[in-house]
Amino acid sequence: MITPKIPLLKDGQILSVDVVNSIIKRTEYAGDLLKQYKLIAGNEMYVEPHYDGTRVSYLQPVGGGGTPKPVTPSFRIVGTYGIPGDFRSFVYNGSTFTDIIVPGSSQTVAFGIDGLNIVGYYIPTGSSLRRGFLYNGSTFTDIVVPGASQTLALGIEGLNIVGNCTLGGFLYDGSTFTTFSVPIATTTDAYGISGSNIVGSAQRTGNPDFPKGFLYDGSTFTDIVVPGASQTFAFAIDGLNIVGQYRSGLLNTGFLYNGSTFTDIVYPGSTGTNARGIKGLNIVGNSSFGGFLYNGSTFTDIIVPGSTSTQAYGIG
Amino acid sequence: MKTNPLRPIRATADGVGISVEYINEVINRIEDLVETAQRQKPIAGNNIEVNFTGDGAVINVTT
Repeated sequence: MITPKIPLLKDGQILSVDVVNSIIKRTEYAGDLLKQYKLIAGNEMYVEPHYDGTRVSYLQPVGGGGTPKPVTPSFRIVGTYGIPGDFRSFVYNGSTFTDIIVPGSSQTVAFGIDGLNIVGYYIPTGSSLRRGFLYNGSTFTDIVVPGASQTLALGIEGLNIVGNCTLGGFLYDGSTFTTFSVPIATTTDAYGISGSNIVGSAQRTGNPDFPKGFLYDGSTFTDIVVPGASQTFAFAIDGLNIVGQYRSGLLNTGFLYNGSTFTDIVYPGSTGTNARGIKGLNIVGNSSFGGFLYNGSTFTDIIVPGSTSTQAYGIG
Repeated sequence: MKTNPLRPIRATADGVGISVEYINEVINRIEDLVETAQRQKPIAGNNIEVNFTGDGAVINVTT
């Protein structure tokens, strides 16, 4: 029960029963607060008393008294980074960057991730033609659209992989490749998938400087165009939310589209921003400073230590 | 805590005498305790929800 603050006694004031009872009630109120604010672990949460406070961790107990282990995030991030004389791909788990390199390749680009699975493309050593890949954490599998000279796997959700190839956009459901093209488009690039919805961008015939984003539900293409933009790219989708990049004048800006409203995503101080991946409230993208993770309120830099540049492309 | 631990009172041959100043120290100490408890109320951050129950604050991950 909430009790009022106790007024201090004045000189000569009698220590009455009422004053003592108000002190007792206020003391009990403090005890109630401490009881109410005691932390109790919910599902997959761990709460442990520690000498310097109450330690809260997710998924794994860390044991009292030891050095706290980093909390494993519920997502990982993929992208690329540059070092002098080389260009590589990485997967980042919140504490460690690990290289993703297709054996026998001269270049590997990791674009999309969902759980343990990572997709992208690679260039075999001695070749100039790009081939898609799926990496499940232990094995690389080629993702190559039959009849296409080049394939880029760019997005993944569950068993479904999307991307583009020399025949247009494609969807691979684990057994069958389906290619598609936006009507009147000269190129169709599928970047992301969520459920039955695919997003991407398409270059239009007769208007080469005006690529538009699209949303494709398997039967109908819907334009995703930021009002007033000269270019719009839809890079990723999660549920109803789509992220991407638009160009207005000479400025590139990231966006989040919830199906009705476009919201700018701008890394503070950057000369340009794009949003490349989304999972729940978390968005990854790139600014003129490097990769970032944005949780709706705070930007966290995603920079591979020692790299000359870092690009974050996917989160899952 | 802005206040110091309370001094225990001692009985004398004439009984127990408690001054106004001492009672005010007790009151200040209790108010300090209430303020500290209020500051330690768990507030949900990103991807965390907090539900207050009679036994405590249950924390869960929302994603």
